[in-house]
Amino acid sequence: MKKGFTLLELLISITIFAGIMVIALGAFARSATTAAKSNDSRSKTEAARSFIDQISNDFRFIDTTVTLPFDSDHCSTKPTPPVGATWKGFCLDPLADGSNSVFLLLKYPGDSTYTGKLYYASTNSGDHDLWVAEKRNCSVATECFPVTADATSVLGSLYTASNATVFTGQADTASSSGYLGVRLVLRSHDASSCTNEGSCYELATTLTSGGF
Amino acid sequence: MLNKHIRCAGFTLLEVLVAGSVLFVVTTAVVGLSNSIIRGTSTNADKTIANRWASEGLELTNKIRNDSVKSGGTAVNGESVWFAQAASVDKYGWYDLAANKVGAVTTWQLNPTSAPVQLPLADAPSYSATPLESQGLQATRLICVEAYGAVDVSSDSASASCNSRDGTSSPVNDGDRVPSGDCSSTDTYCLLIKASLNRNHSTASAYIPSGNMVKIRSVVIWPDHNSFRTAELSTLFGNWQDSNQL
Repeated sequence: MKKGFTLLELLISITIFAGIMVIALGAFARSATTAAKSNDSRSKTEAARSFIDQISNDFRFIDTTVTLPFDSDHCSTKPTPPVGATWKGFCLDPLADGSNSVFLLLKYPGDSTYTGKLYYASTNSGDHDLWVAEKRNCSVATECFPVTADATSVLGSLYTASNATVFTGQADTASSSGYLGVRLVLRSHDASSCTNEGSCYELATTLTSGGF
Repeated sequence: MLNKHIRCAGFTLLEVLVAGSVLFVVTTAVVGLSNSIIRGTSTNADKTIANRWASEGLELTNKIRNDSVKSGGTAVNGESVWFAQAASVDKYGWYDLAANKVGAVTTWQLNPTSAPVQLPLADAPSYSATPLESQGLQATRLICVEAYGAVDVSSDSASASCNSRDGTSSPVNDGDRVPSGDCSSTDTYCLLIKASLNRNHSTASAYIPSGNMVKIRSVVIWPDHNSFRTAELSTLFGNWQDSNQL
């Protein structure tokens, strides 16, 4: 007996198979798209967390016994802190070019020298890149301000900061210790804005200089 | 010898349907697993933000205490208390952490709430005047000031507890000691520290005030897929009242 498919069986089979394949491939396609977005989201999460962790760890070691400013160009009183306030161990917007920045004067336990760290945001065609420059082994605190020529990019080529003001804060007053606010809205270079869902990832924190 | 009557029939409709069903089930399972992993990634991204908010809650509470120290403390019952929220057992419970901006100066403060010991997570937003928001993620942060001896009951999907005795809705009052005065004879923790003080030649009249050591928990609560999630961090804060005490 040599019996093949009937035309009706063939048509029904093809229809069923096509229906299943459309559903399956559609689901896989959606899943793949979502997976790509998810992967991008995870990368952004890691990048933002890495930056916040890095500056948080640095902030733990600022030397609050040193009162800034050093001179009129570095850690001067601009922007004007509250009356009677002084920057101790860190200062906001030390760069004379108006870019948003923060300088940290670090002293690690058991180390007799200082380390100066400068974080700043530079604007380039609407994107805001984050940079960090470091100067180590300074025996005198006033010689520890890094130069921006030595800076390295924090976010690399994949991401940009969508917000121009990353660093905010307040100097020490007689009744209140200083604090540094860090807010990073991370965006992929290929996304023009944060309007689409999932195109940006925001991480923020407030660090206090503590100690009394 | 070859069989001249080999049956060369194709698949029957039933076979195709069964095969199709198997394919459909397998595909659904794989896609479901994939979506589950993706949802997990999204939840982790939210959790990173929530953990940072919780960490910030502890940081700012520490600043409240440090600023109180810098300014000489708050007068409570004629004594200078450095962390007023821990001055009395009556003050233990849930607090709302709020920013207070006066001119160019921003400070933070802990505002008391009437939130119950066992707080239903869905009710949390009604006890906070300062909701948190980040790229569509909305959350509530509450600070729990609780007795050192409070039972640490982790938050579940329905409620979060603060200053709970044995995981119940009864509050803990720090060894049943009175807000000020000598240790109760049943207060082992108080008696041990007092003995330690005396061994170290501190004044014999020193007593351990209520709130001598409190636990601070920063709890962040946010909705997630018809349920709630929590992230929390905790630490211990010491409190001192005057020079002859711990």
